[in-house]
Amino acid sequence: MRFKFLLGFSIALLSGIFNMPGAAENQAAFRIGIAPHTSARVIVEMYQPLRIYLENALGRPVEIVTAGDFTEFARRGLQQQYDLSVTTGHQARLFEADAGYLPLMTYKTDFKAVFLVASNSSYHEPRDLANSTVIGLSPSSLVTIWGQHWLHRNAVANVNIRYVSASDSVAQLVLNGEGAAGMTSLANYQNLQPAVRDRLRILNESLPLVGRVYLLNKRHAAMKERINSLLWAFAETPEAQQYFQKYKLVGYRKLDSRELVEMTPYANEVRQALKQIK
Amino acid sequence: MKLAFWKTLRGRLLLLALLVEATMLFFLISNSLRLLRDRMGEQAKVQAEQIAPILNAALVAPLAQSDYATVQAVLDESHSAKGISYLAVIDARGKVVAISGWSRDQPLPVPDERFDLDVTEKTPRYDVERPIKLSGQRLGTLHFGLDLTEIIAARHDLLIQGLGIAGGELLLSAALLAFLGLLITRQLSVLTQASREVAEGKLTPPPVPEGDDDVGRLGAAFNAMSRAVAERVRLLTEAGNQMSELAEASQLEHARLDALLSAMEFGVLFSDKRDSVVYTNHAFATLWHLEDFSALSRGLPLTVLLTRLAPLFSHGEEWQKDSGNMTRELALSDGRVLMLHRVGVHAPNQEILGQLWIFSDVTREKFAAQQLIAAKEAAEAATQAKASFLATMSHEIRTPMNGIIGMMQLVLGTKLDEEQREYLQLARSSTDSLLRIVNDILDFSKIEAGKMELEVIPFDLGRLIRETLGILNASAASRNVQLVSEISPSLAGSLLGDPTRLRQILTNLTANAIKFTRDGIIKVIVQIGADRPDGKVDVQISVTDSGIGIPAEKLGSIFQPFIQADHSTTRNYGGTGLGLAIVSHLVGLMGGRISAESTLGQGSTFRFNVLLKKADVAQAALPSSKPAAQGLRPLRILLAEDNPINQKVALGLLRKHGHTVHLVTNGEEAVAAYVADAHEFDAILMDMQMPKLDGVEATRQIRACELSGQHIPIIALTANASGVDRDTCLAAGMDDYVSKPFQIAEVLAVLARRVKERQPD
Repeated sequence: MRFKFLLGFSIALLSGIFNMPGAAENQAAFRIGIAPHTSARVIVEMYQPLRIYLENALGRPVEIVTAGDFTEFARRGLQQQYDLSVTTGHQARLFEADAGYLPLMTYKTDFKAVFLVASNSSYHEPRDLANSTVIGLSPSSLVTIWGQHWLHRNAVANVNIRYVSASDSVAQLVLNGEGAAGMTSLANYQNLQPAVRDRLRILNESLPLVGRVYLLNKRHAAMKERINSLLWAFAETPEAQQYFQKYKLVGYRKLDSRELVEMTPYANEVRQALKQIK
Repeated sequence: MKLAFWKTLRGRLLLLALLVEATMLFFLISNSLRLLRDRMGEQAKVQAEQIAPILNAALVAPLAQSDYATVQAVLDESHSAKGISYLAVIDARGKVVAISGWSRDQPLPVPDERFDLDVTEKTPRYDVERPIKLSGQRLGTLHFGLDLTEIIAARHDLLIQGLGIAGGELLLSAALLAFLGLLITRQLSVLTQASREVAEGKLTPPPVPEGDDDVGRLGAAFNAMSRAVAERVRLLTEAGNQMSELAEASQLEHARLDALLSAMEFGVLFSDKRDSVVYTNHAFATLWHLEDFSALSRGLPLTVLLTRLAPLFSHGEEWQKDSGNMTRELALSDGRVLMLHRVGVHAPNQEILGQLWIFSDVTREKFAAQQLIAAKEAAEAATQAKASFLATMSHEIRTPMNGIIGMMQLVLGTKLDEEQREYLQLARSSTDSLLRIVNDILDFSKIEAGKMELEVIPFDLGRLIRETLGILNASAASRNVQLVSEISPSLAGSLLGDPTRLRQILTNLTANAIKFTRDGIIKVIVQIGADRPDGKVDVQISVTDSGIGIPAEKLGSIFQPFIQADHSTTRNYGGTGLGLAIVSHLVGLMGGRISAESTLGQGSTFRFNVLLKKADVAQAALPSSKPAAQGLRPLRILLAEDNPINQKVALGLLRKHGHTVHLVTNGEEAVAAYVADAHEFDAILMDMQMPKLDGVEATRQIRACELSGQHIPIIALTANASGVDRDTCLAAGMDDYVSKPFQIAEVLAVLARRVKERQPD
């Protein structure tokens, strides 16, 4: 009886030691946080090739995570919850500036924000949206911030912004008439079902923006080159090619430091939003 | 003895049925429980497998977003569903991020490796752990427990209800089977009772119920068997009674037989088929002086017994070696003669059972028989001597009688005065009477010697009767008696028989009637009876006279020899008293009977019948018995006769009738005369007894000398009157026969018939 107790106690003690932070770092999962530009399910599925590749390359578990909205994603990112983060340029700028993330690369495809209206709607000019409801993603998302800026620049008055969690829902809500227009990315619009897409019309389109940027948590600064190399190596794999092709991302490209700096105004919007939540 | 319930057929069937049903119910319930457990387990597993992906789908997004509130909400909502005991989600880092229905302070249950309803936990549960994955990425782990309380309760309810139903069914089945068993075995019980009664000796129990089912048929078969047994018992009883009666009768017969055999003077021995002694009676031991032979008992081998008997035989006897039935005399050394009869004893199926030996002491009988034989031989010798004497006397009497009668015939043929003729007629009558007496004596001597023989030749009975009466007519007329005959019209054709003896019978009876009748009538009636199956006819003849009659007391003896109705009869009417005795005997020889009726002073009737065959057409060619001397031409006759007187008589009578006679005195001369010239003579009259060569031998020699186609009639003339002599004559070749003393008319008639036959018409 005593022997069994001692044996059990010893095993528990050893287990506690190995589960201590630091000691267990090698065993902890490598978390890749993906900005919730679409539904969580789609995000997880989309990044599986990368996850598998990195898991094999790193020899440790790799998991894809996201958040309920861009604000929450930003908050978690700032809390250092992601080892590698893939998010739009304005949050990347925030992460870089406020949380020390190390920018790595972005996709070759331009990232643009668009205003979508129903094809048969009477909204043709920005002022047509006055006194209407416009549907957008999280207030922290780049397309929503760009849209709000566009409305402001075009002096569209009395616009009610309705935020939804999923970008896919924006098109449906517009078609359902719940909003006069919707704000989303050009990529999302292009990924819509043709039947849905044909019933929509782009009211306005942004200039190219920095899209999703890969950022490495600063605690893995030592692994930056390795991670960078692995990502570039991944881009050469057939799985990556299929991934790029499927989501019309073309491939990776290096990120110019100025591109993130240009996102500073938008980053500030996010920072403000986070402060308001607090 | 009452059987234990489980030993009865009903009890065994009931127990067996209940056992089978209980077994089946056990398997049914256990199988139901097993199926329930398996199916419920399967259902639980299926449910778990169904719950897991649903929860997985619901949880992947909030987990990927680390939206644990949503995760908790999903768990809470799921836990509200009945049947899920608790839910918990652990993230990829092993931290419980949401939990419902389970305290966070308690460690989560260890997942069950398999579904098991036989849990001893207070709250039975199926603990499941499933990863929460999306596209191969494990987002966390889902723990949940399925509440098995309902399943176990259902199983418990099923078990309780199943046991209840099984118990109820067993009780109901037991009651039903007991009832059915009672119905089925009720007849069996009756049968059992009936069988028990049979076993106890009551062989005819009351009939048991019958029916169309198996038991009913069994009852019918039992009844049939019972009836058959009763019948057999009755038959056996009867057979037993019969056997007892037979045994009693057998014992009685055995006792009688034993007494009989013991009392018999015959020695009796019975041997079996193995030649061992089975039985001997007291007389056997006495006969063979075996009183002290202790070995004489049942089972003694015959060879041992015969060895013991061997010294008693006067000489070697081999009789014991014979086999089969035997009768013989055994001469013993002590002078006794034993008669042995040995016969085989056979069973009804002809199986040989043994032999019966009967020994009788015939010494006395043998001696008596020898004396009787000697006496008989002496008597026969005396009779033969008497017959021979009579024959000799007859011959010796006949020879002078022939001379006397012949001479009288010759003298009566000469010229005589009345007185002389009367005297000669009386003398002639006396000689006729004398001759009849002699003939009667000879016939009677033949009858006594058993040498009377009958001829069987065709004859006409009607003509015989008419001729006989015709001859007697003169005698009847002399006594003023009328002879009348009535002959049945159905008497037609010839009969076969001895006409001479029949004429003798008729003559005797009619002459007797004439003798005792005066001034009356004599009626001869002939009737023919119906044809008999043997081809003979019954000829019934009666001779009725109106004479003096016969006293009734004498009627019974008149057919005995030397008996007459009255001694005075001889004195008054003459006669030897042999006539009716001879007639009676001749009738008997002819297969008939004779009787007499008489009324004293009114007359008598003599009736006799003879059985005669009818002659066919060929036989019916009758020789004429009527003397045919008329028209006879003068013949040349060779007469062989040694007696000088008879020579003179024959010569005188034949020559008187115009015939030429050449006389020789013996056979040799006769043969020589014939051989000298065979054509010299028309006929030969041959005496029988002659010196040198008798008539018989002379006839043989003459016949031997005759050429083909020649045949001279030879007629015997002899004083030997017996039938033997007649046969001897005919056998030697003679054609006819005339006895001495002869009447010349008879001789001429025979000559006429024989010569006429020789000569063609």
